[in-house]
Amino acid sequence: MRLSFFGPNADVSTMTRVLRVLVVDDHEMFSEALALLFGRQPGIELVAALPAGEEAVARCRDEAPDVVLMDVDLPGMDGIEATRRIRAASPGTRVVVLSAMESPTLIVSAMAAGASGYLPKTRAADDLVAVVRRAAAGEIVMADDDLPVVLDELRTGREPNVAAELALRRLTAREIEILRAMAAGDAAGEIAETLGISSLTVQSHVKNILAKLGVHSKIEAVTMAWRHGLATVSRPV
Amino acid sequence: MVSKLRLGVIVVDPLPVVRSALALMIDDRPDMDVLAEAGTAGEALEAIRRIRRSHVAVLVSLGLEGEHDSYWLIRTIRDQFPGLSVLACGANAEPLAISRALFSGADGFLDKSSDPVEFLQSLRRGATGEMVLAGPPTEWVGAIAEGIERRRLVETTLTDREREVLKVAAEGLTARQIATRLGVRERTVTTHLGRIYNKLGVGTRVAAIRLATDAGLVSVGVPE
Amino acid sequence: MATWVGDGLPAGLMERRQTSAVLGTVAADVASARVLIVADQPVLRNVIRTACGASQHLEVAAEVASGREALGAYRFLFPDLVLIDVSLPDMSGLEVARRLRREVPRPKILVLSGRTDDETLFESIRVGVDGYLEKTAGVREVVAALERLAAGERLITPEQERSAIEELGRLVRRAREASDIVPSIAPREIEILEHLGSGLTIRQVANRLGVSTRTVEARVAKLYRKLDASNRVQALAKAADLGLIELG
Repeated sequence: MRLSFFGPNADVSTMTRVLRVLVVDDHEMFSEALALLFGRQPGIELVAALPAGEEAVARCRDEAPDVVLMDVDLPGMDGIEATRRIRAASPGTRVVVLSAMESPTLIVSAMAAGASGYLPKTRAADDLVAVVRRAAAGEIVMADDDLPVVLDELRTGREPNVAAELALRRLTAREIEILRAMAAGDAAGEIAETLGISSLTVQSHVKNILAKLGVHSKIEAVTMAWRHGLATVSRPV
Repeated sequence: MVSKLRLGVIVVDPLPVVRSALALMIDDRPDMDVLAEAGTAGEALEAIRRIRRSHVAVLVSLGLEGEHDSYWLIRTIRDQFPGLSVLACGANAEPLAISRALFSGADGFLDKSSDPVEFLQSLRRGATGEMVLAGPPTEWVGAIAEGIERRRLVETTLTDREREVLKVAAEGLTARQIATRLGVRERTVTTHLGRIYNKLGVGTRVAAIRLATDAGLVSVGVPE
Repeated sequence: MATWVGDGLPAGLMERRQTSAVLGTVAADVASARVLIVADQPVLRNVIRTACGASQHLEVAAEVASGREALGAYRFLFPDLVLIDVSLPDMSGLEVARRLRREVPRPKILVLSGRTDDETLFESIRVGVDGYLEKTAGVREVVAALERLAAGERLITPEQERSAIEELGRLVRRAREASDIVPSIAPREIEILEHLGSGLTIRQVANRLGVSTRTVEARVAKLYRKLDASNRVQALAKAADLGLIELG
């Protein structure tokens, strides 16, 4: 999927000076991966890797890095809120939001919070470097496929449901398996057979899924899964 | 959380030597007392009825056999004396026996071949209501969980009558023989069997019996 | 020992395959354990591959980004160790682990999870993985874990075991509760629950069943007792949990 960049590449100085980057992610493994990546890039300096939003806001207030790569799922203050605060505390700092899960809803919230872009963590390394450079220069970045969905969300004026998004993250791996199967149209019996568990167990999981998502029906849960990119309509599970 | 009260233990094992060994090991601990020893389910229940203290655990060996076997005893204690902890204990028990014991109501399982220190520490923790599994390797958790879920399936989807039919069928009898045993018509038996296959999601009698065996509804060792 | 099972290729020869898997060198180094990396975040794959490369005891046989590719790569390369991210685009990493466990020879499996909940750990242990690490751990820990697995060590920690057993305890309690309660609920009562679940009032249920409102009220009160519920929502939730009715 291609990335598109928008807006003026206004800050030419970013091409010649060393860009200072802050990474905010509680998955140390991922931060280390970014450190390795940027370590090989001349012109990019990883200032710090922090595991939580609050620290990041404080750091930005003090040091005004050029770009912050902000994970959405953080313990405590979530990435969207942290983005909002950093943009307020340090307007010269650009924030690019990263996420393990693709989600149109979160993109809208991220942009509204002042992010320069939104990237899934499944992007290639080269893309991440390009994004950092261009975001530092003032451009907005987004994956091509995401743009129509984002515009659609804005057009229909739906309130971005960050709560729902975060609720989806509380699902266990097993629950996600089952929700995806439901979204693909499998009946409880089929799901049970595929996973090798009893259909009563499936029903128990379904009940937990509905409870965690705060919905009352399977169709609502499945709709959430589609809207938040957990399952696609066409993709077979 | 381990209690400050001394733990009272009733040791139930059909083999006198094993009973004594367990009792000695437990009594030796400053925070535990052996309240009684029993060789049968009946003796165990009698001993339990005489208890007048709290913080008591009953250690039930899986070696009791017959109509009032270990599983029967575990279930009876759970039903009649809900305030007591019951810990199953066995030597080289299989996951199926362990899941059966847990499903019957045991708060945990202690393998007699486990390290004595671990055995006693697990006994203490199990007595406070925490689930314990001392001895069985972590690799068995999957099989034990399967056994529990299958048992749940069998118990919650089949009627008492259907379970009865299934138990008898597991002995390898024909529909006619089952009918004779239960005092009903052969057609009734086949109807029941049909419903059983449906509910359990199986297609053959062999599969149904297999499931029943895996669920611990019938004893292992029955010809399939 | 670098066994190579494939299209009759001589041992040690390397070939680029059609899949998007990137192959590492199959070295003749006897001491190294061969690793298959299954993760869909390229950045993560890179850092893990680099770190494994720096280890004298490990060598990366291949990297793939999906469950299907993982199974294909396994049957082609038969690596000793497989590192699997729980979240993959086409299936759960646990499903991959489940299938790999049935392979012969069976590889050692280390699962990487972005979550911190007990249930995912429990599911992983149920599947029978050899190790479970959260992504809050560093790459060094991953490499150390792989090396220890290669050396034949057990990786499941006592804390993880404890957590899994606790979760097992919850499973047992729920199963027992279900088998205590479910058989005591009559088909008629299940019918009532289903109607209540669809949003009918007591009067409407009574109409539907052709009995008096009082009868239904009494039945419902009895149901609440059996289900240990104090209101309709609790009763319906409990009933769904026990598998008596389906929600939605």
